[in-house]
Amino acid sequence: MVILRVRDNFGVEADLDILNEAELLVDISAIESGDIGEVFGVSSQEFMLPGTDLNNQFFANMYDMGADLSIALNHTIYASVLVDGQEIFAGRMYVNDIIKDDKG
Amino acid sequence: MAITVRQNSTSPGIGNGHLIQSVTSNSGSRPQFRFVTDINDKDGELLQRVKQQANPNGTGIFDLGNIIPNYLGPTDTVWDISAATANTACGKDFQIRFGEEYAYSSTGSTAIYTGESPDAAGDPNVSGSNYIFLLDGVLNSAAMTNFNWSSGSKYDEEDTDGSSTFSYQNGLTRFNTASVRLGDYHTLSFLNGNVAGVTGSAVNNSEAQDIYAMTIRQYNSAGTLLDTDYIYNNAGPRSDQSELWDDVYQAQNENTRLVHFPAGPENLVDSGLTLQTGLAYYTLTFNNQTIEPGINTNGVYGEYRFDITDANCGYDGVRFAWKNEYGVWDYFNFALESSTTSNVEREQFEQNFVDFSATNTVTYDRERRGFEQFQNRVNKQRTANTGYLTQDNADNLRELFYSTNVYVQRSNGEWWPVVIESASVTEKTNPRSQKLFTYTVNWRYANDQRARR
Repeated sequence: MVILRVRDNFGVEADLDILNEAELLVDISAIESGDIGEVFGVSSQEFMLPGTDLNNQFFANMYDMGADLSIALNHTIYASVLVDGQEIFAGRMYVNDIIKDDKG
Repeated sequence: MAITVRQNSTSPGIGNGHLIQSVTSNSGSRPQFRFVTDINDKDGELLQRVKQQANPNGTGIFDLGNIIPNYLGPTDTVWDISAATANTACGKDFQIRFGEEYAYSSTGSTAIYTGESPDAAGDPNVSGSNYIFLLDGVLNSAAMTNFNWSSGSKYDEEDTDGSSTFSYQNGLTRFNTASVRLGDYHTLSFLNGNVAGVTGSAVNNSEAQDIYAMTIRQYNSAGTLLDTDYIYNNAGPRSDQSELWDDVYQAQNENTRLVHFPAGPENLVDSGLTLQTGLAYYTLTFNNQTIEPGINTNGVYGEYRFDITDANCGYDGVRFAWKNEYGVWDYFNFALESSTTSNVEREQFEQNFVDFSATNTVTYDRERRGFEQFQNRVNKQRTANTGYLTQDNADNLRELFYSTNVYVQRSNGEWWPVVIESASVTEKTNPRSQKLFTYTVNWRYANDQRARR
């Protein structure tokens, strides 16, 4: 199973809920590995997270525009991807956009 | 006072709804002015800070119903309790505090002020209610009274000297009767004590929704009373039934404001009660306290009836528990046929009969496979059927289909998480032809079988 482990700039750590494993690509193609530095492969990817209680709490409920101290919106935070407990990527992540409706 | 609270959520309330707070300030003309609202937990620890510019009318309007549900739950796993049990996370105290932020010039640094008068820098500290106790339930817009839960339907403070007569149905469920089998677990939950948002020292000790005891009366099929037993609410603030409310009312907190009672046949057996031979049904009556102390039988906070049923037509049925609209458990037996369909996804490859990897000579081997299935994934889809339902039960069962938190009781008494997969619910649409009707629900265990390989 894929785990997305993050740590914000205040040192708060969390294993975020992810939609499903396919959202996070954990393989790297021969082309990408052969052109590191030229092709943006899985080392830079965009994925969607579900709006669960855990995720909302970690990101400080920033779907509410008035919520203070947005996490990972205008800065990056530490993140690592683990598969069955083994870390395969480690780097930084940030929030691209937030989807909500008027019921939150 | 710099901040004036114009509107605030009342206690008790329900978290997943519109929790509207409205404030004004006489500092609104200051540069870079913003209203600040802190959502704090029961101890005053900050959970979330929200800021907002004043609207064109100089008012700040916050709807905290989008944020607070993230801090409620998970629902207490109290299915198999054998005594009155205090709340853990089905409801929580929140301290909502208002303040303001401004600077003294349009380019200056802003600071946060308490909102009190005179102005002082610090965390927001103005409130409309000392705390609000919110249940982990859901409140639809049309069911609100002035943006609040009509808590009077489930919360009524009465005299704590046990001298008053009243009759309510304040259990946090819509089911007043239930059919249960011996071996079934069931719980009933009540708001308990003082939940009106008043600070501890200001609580009026002469009024509370004091759920003192539950009386269990067992009857046979002729309606003859077989036995009477009692389970006292010693989950808090009382720790013993000999204590008067006046002795303990200061010891209330978010854990004591909601109490779960054991209600199913198996819960009662686990509590030490003996179910009588010939038991056909039993009633559970919830009363407040007299000053002896004893049970005030004239003060009824709820009475619930449980009919004992056997396996219907030989079917074992399926017992569901789900988080209801009040954020506590409801239960129902789907008593008729249940079935399971296993869909197996098979992954296979074809192997050559000749073993080209042999050493020296190739062994002629009839047991060597051609087709080999190397992974079979089992997906078990289950259905359960109700018997014929009354209109009330049919209406109340809608919450099962809407709930995101559903469990099934196994024959060994364990509860396993499941997901309901029915895509839609067709409610009674033609009252002339459909006097009675049934529900069929498709469900599966949340943890499916592991693939074979």
